[in-house]
Amino acid sequence: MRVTRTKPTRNCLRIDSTRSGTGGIGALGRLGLATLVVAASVSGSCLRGQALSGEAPQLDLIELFGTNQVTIHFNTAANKTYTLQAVDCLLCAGSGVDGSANLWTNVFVAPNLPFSNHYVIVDTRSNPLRLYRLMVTD
Amino acid sequence: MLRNRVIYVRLAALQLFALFGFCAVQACELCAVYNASNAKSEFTKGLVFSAAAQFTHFGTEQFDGRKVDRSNPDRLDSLITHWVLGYNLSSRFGLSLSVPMIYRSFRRSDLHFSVNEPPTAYREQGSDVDLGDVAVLGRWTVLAKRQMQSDVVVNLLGGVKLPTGETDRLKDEVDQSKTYGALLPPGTPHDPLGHSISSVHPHELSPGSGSFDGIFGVTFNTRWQRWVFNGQFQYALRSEGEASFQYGNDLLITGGPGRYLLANERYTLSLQAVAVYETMARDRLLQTVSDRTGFTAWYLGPQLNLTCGGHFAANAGVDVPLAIAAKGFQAVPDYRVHGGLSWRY
Repeated sequence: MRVTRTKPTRNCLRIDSTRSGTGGIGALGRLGLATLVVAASVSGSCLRGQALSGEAPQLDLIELFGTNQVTIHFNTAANKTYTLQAVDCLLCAGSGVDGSANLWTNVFVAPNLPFSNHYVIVDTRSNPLRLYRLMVTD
Repeated sequence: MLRNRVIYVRLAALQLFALFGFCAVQACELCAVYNASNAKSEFTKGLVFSAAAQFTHFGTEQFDGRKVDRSNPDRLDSLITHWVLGYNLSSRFGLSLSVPMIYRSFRRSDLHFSVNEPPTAYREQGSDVDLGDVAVLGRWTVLAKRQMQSDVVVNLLGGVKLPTGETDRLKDEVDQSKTYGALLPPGTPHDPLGHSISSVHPHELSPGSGSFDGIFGVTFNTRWQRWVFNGQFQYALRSEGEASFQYGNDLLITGGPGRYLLANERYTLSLQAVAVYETMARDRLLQTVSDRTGFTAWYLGPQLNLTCGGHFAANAGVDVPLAIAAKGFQAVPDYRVHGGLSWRY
């Protein structure tokens, strides 16, 4: 994942993903997950993601909310199930497929609907670092 | 829930057929037809009691006018019964009080948003019986030409619907809209019902609106010998109600030709083909119109009309949808069954 720091607007960092919907970055790619991994722990920052190819699902925005929370924004396509997951440890964020510990936990499961939709998910900042990913299944 | 629906339908059928043995004797065939209008309480002074019911099965889900299929869809069955007490001040003027009782059986799945935690998915299933919004209506017969061979009657209707029904579901829906809006960056354009993923919205389950609404209508009834043509135009002008929720204005146009099949000394029976055009504008909440509401529909179906003597009238019919286009994600009717009784004292 390539991170490009641009002049922040509303304290946002722009992150460009080089992955496609079925590819992946690093260990995550072997699962065929369409994901975007961002760090949401930088204080006073919001993070805006942008996929460079095709119709890859993505986390559009992670923004501070209130005093101790963030909101995660993402769009969903029709007839797909989306699972927003989080992990608090970068080094221990294994995929689970190769035997590494899979400590990703489900934050929210967007149901399979016959139309596209947009979600805004609230999560509490309990750790200095938390990673999010979006898993898509039929 | 299914058992209750069957009981409602059977009671209506029994009431329709039980009065054949109590009919008065009429002098001639066209007299019977002439008196059919009389039994519908159009001409004479006095008290009138009526009951009208409509059962609607919302079994098809649409997204922006297109049918969609999914496992475990939301659904809604609705039975609305209007109990009406009227008084004809004269052959030209009348007043009536309409009290609706609403039975709804539903199943819906939705998300509940919070500012403290991720949204939670839930499923709701059950039935409610509630008092709806009471209406007071006036009638002015502006044209009435009645002869043995033919009739022409035009009525103007006007009234107000009062906020007597419960509105808790409206309040909950607006609260959810506020919560969802609070999660978005300030100034983000969004639909005020964008938080919901259900095709049966809470405002469709609300017995009341919390608003004073105007009701305006025109009825047009003509007859030539045994042939009839009836039409009706009705417009509901909505105002802001509970928690800033405002239902869309509603236009209803119905009409069609018919013919008396039977007309004898005891009763008359006519069969009518009724076409219905109905359109409801989009709802508004928190001063924003929702593009997930509103619909336009066309129906067609038969209606039987019965009169017995000069006091009793009844009707029953079915509306089959020809075309329905609903905005956003909504459950739409598969069919409607309706009936009514009227007794003039």
